[in-house]
Amino acid sequence: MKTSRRNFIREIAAGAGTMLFSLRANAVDPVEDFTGHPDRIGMLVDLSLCIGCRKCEEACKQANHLPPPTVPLEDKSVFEQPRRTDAEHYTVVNRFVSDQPDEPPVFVKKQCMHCEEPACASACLVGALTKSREGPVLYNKDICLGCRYCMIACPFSIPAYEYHNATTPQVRKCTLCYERIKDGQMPACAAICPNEAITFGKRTDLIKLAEEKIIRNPGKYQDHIYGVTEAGGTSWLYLSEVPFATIGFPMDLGTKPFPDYTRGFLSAVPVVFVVWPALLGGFYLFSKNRQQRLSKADDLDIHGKETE
Amino acid sequence: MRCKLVAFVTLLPCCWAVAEPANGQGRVSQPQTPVGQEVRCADCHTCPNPTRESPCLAPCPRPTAAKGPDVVLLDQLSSQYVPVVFAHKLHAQMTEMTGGCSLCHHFNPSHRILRCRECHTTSNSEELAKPGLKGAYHRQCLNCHREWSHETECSVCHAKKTADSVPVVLPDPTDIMGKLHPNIEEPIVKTYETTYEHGKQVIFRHQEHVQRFGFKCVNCHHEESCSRCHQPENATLQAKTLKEHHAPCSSCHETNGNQPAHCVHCHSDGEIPPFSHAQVGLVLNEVHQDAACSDCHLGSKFHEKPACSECHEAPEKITYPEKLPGKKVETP
Repeated sequence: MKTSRRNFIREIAAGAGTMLFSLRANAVDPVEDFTGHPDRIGMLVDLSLCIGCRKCEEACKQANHLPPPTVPLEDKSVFEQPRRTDAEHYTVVNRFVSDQPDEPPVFVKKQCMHCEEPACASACLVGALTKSREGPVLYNKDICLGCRYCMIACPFSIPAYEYHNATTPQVRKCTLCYERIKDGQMPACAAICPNEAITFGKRTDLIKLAEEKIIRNPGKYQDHIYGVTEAGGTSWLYLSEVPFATIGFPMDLGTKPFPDYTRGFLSAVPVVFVVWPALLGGFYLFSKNRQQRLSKADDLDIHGKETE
Repeated sequence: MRCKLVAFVTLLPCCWAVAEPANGQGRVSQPQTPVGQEVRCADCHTCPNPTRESPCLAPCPRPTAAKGPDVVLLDQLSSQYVPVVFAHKLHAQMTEMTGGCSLCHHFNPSHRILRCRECHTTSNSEELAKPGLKGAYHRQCLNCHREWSHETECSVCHAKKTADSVPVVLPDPTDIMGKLHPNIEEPIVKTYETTYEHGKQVIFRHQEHVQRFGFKCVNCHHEESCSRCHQPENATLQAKTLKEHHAPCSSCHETNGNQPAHCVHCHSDGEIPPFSHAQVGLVLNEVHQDAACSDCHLGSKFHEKPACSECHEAPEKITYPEKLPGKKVETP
């Protein structure tokens, strides 16, 4: 079989085209519906009921064996600056004051949202973060590399790193009290909440409850349950009387699960690392053999001539 | 506003469904509430033969002659906290203006007032919509108190018990002195600034209405929220429709917006008959005729002494007519 230079380039181009097309096709595939475990749990926060007592912060710290709150619960100066979660605070309550002076402030509890399809788990190189069957996104400190890609991947900026720990630093975040749930208990924050602003239950039931609350109280709540579709859905759901954009909720996350943005690319990685070396190696060997054969034939010709 | 929101639950029927006659038995099985309490027909229905169309239901809850307690001590957590003193009578006094007993005693089926814990369990309820006992208690108090006092500190109600703290003497539950709602001062005249172009002012003679027609507060004030008085700056901000604005008057006065003749009965830029300035001895003539009401009645406070100093140089020399409203001052 004789391969002309032109045909060779054409074949290469066709092969590359097919590969690229298959990648594109992968990327534009319709998003699969996340089915997950039907009984996975969730938490519903009715922000209209949160009074900003920060009991949840205290209970969270007790349940996770973290040092007690540095600022006493009675000290309201803690609300002057918005806070974020860190290695010693798995949950924080922030206060949002309205532009209108007579409107009461809104308190918003912040913690890991336990996404249905977590970006952190998708970004983790070694699979140290996993979505459990029950719903919580769990961390395995034994295999974590410490690359902190999860912290960059998280759309809610939740995972925190133990920078103060030089030898065995871990990524720390809310576990949705996985151990307590396994024991049949509520997560510590939901159990302590005096006004029961946090409801613990099956995610599907909580969405029904939230919808019912909106319908039964016309004009009270925003017609939106935050977390049902945000970033593909989260385990924590929020109801609010004021627009979510005004109380620190990111509204630009879309409804597509974050892992979907990289799934097409990541699925191509094995192709690049397995198929391409084989293909290019094949070409190399083919051309090398051909050269060898040609040079052998040339040698023979030269030899033949010499012998003639 | 939140006070009213609590009331949404009261819109739901508070009588439990009466069981249908058992098949073939011809007997009506004794209906029961979810907490196993027996109910007699007369507990809920005021007529002997209630029908589906006219059930003649008594207002909920339907307590017997037994009066509510004056003070309730909430001591479920007495190991950690000093009991909460709930001034029941004080709250009950005001409740007729905000939705009645059922504002708090919601879903209360019949003759007996249920305890909160009979429905609200201490554990995580299977019914997610129903708060546990802790949530039920806190929501009842905080829904209103949070709105106007902005105090959400635990210590406002719960004094923490510590080992070395001095034992707190519990209040005498029979002593209700100081636990009654102070008398509400009845306004004499209320003036409303409206946006109606043909007559911006509405002058409502509150005292006269009450005295002449023998009104009780609840006749007009039956859907008030606590913050109406406790945080009036909030209450005035509530957006109301035209109909809602006129509702207190429309039960007696024609407030149909299609007939302007009716509007000027209350809305006016000048004197509203039968009142005339001549009654108080000051005829509105000459320059006074052209003055706006608020030129003399500063801040539209019509029951107070009008101000003359806005125009007249030596108001102290002006002799006010005898019948002029407001405080009489000695003139030199």
